[in-house]
Amino acid sequence: MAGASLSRGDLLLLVVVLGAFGIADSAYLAFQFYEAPGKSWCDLSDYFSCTAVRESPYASFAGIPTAVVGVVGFGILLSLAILALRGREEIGPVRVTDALLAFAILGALAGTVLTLIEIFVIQAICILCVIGFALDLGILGLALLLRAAPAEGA
Amino acid sequence: MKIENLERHVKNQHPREQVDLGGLITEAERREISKTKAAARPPITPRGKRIVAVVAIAIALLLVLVILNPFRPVGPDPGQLAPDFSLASSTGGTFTLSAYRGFPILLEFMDVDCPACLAEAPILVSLYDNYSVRGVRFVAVDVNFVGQADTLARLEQYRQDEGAEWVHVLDSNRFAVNAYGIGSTPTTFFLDRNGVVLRDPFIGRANGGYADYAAALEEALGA
Repeated sequence: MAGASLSRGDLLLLVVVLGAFGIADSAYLAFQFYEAPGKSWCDLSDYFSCTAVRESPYASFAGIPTAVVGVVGFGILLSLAILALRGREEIGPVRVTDALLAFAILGALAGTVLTLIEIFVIQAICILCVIGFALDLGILGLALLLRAAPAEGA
Repeated sequence: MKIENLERHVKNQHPREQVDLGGLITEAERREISKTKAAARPPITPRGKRIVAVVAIAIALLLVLVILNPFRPVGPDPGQLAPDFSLASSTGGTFTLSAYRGFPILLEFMDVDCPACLAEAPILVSLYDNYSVRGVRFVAVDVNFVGQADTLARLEQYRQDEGAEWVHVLDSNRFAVNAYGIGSTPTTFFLDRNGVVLRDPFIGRANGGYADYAAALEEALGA
């Protein structure tokens, strides 16, 4: 048994769902970055303001919007989870679940840094960005459970 | 090589050949392969499916709620009279918005510590140079959203540093912020000669920069 009462397949399916929502969330953020300057979106107050974060210098690095990096990152996590769901155990010398864990850690680190920047530098929180971060933390937790769990079907 | 990988191997090795893959393995072997592949897939339990469905619905609802955002701050709509305010000016005294009645107004909500406002300042200076002579009045309202606490002294220093000659006022008690539903800086309104809001404000930097502001000001002058 993988989690407390979830099978390995259940955990992987959860990763697929979280990854798909992560892609949707990041894609919407990227769309707003490119298509909607000059418009308000997901602003609840001056502190919970996606616009304030979008208008900050931290919305992109070297010309690449962080949201686009999010789409790619969640895409990788989703692909790895689908591979594992289809019974693939390894990609070359690397176990699929190890790769999943490694990319989830990378995503969580990036999300932590960006959230700290929002809190302490920009002094505004983009809720959609935080949702993306939470999705990645969820995938990280599931990846840890998967790594600890023995393969069932193989 | 495992028999279940035979088909893929042949396709990879002879991508342009017309090989009858059906003849390579028997029907019994094909069924065995399918069974092996299915057995290799981790099983999904009915309980797991229910949990995944609940999680998916919860996240979808959350995203829809955030994107539709029914709780966003609400300011005056186009066609409505812009709320009047009297606020302390960086040059001393009190400025009242209705004192500019009879002139088109560019009304910017900003913060001296907001990077986007700083980036926008040279554009506004150019606009001021070109449109103040045509009767447009400019007003900047510091809303003190980010960074250090804003004071009239800091605001006046910003005004001088940026060469922004127009009136700058400090909204220290958030009266204007609440009246105009300001959620982020810069937010820029355009008012006609009667103090009526002309169009949706630019929230954040305008996509087209100077050209977008100029078009809005031309509309204000023509109204």
